Amino acid sequence: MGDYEFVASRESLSGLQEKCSTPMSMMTSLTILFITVFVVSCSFGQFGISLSTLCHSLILKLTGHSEQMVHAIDTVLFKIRLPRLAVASIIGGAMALSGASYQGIFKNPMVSPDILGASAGAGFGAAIALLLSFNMFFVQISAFSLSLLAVSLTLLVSKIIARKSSSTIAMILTGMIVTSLFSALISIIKYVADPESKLPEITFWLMGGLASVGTSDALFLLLTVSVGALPLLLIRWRLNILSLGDDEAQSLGIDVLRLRFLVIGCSTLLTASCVSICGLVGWVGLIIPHISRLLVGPDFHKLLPVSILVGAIFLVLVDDTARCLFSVEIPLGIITSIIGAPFFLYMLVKGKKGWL
Amino acid sequence: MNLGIHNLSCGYNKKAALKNLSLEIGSGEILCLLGPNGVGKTTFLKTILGFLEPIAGEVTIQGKNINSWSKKKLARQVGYIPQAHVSPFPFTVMDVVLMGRAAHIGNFSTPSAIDYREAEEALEKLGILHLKKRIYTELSGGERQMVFIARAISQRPRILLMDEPTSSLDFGNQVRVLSQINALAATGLSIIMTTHAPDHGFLCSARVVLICRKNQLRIGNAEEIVTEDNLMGAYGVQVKINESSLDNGTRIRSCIPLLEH
Repeated sequence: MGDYEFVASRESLSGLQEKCSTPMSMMTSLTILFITVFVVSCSFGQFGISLSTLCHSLILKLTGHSEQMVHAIDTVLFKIRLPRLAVASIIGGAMALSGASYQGIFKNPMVSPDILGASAGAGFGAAIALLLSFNMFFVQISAFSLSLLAVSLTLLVSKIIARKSSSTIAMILTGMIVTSLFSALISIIKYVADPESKLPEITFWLMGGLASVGTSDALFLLLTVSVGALPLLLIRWRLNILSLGDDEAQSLGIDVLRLRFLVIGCSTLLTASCVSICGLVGWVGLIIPHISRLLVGPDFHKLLPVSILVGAIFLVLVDDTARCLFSVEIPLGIITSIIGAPFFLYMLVKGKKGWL
Repeated sequence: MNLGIHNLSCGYNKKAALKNLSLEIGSGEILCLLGPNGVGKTTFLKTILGFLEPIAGEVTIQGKNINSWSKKKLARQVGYIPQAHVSPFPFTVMDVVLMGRAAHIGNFSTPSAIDYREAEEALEKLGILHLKKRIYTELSGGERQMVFIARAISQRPRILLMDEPTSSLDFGNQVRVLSQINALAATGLSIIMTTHAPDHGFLCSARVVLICRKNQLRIGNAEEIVTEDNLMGAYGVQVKINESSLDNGTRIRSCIPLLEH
């Protein structure tokens, strides 16, 4: 009997290591890939910087000898390109994270982070601020607050509709209504906007892009995204249970209403802060969790960190394309849609369809 | 007494589906809830699980009213196996069974080596350890039900509620699930199950609550309650109760419906 127990525990231990080793190596290789993509992307752009110059400048900067650097390189690399790449990585990771979390709480892999009206609200906020000729900082603040307002409106109304129960259908339907309301409001603003100056500005903002971001944006994002991401990462294993449905999750000892409120709050904060900086960039929150699920499976414990890395890599690459493909920058939202839509069709045709 | 039900009335929106139910269930006992569709069997389970607040009366576990208990505290005492369903995400069997440990894990932590061992033990107990790495949405209905039972075992409750545990299973799997229910009760678990088969009362030598329309309740041993008259009253169909003796000498009753022509 003693021997048997020893063998059994040895076996389960090796099983455990197997369980841990796969995601760890996946995380490691994704991290290496991310760093490589990030560094190589620094050399891409209208102002080409060769890899050797790049390394040289980085060393000079790190050792505090930035005065020896060519001024143009210093400006392009550290004032424009690095902040932009940082913002792209943070936004890609944050959107993928909030998308994966939303899919968990709505028990539906087809849900994306703007389902509760976050993007439409942000779009309206930005449009109105641009119409009133506010500066970029206030455009972002306005987009951010109206995004949160739109989601709060959705939650409030769906709460009234569903009374004490916590119907997700009520939430999704209300989200659609709020989205279409804010889209109509955006149209009004565009209609009254000066077609020579304001209308193009609003249209470009809505198409999404990172052309005007700087260090302050990176810092703002770092703050709000950390606040939103940390709780999600801490409770990520419990998202598994939440995705089973309310009754079952409750019977397993989960306070469903509280946990769902926390997840929606954090994901909305992530979405709102991203959209307020980069405009409407769709599809990332929908397709990245799917790609990540192909890599590590549906367990949210592994899925969330992997989604963050894959999202960051994806958006840095997309932004490279936006910067380099033509001499004029292409709006980010257009590229993500062009990549996202066919990819999603492919997923529907070929992928595992347990959820259809 | 593990579970006490005292003058309980339960239902949705203050409309009682079930009125004035009182009973006590001890360790190792099986209780079968029988009755036509819509008399409140599932509502009763949901009230014990704390999804619904009792309209009147109270539910006690080990003599303490569960009204103010947290979800987590309740989940350490009461396990639940819902009716067959499929999750939208293709979790592995191990992932699903590990979810049973949630009530024993801190809010911000993840399953430890101990939790993995508990989950493996539960799978081994049911003889389905080989399914560990399989994707549970791809399993057959019977295997999936076994996975849910394993999850309930790893939750380590005192009381286990099962909502029609054999519905949508083939005959062999129904028998296997019923054997496991008897085996679980033998380990000291109190089990309450809803069922549509009166035979389950005999097979599990259970106490039976027969709920008829207009809220008439009959409570007692299977032999006293599952009778031709009572089933006629509850379901409006004629049945014949037979007694057969098995090879090992035990006598067991079974229920045969008489079809009209």
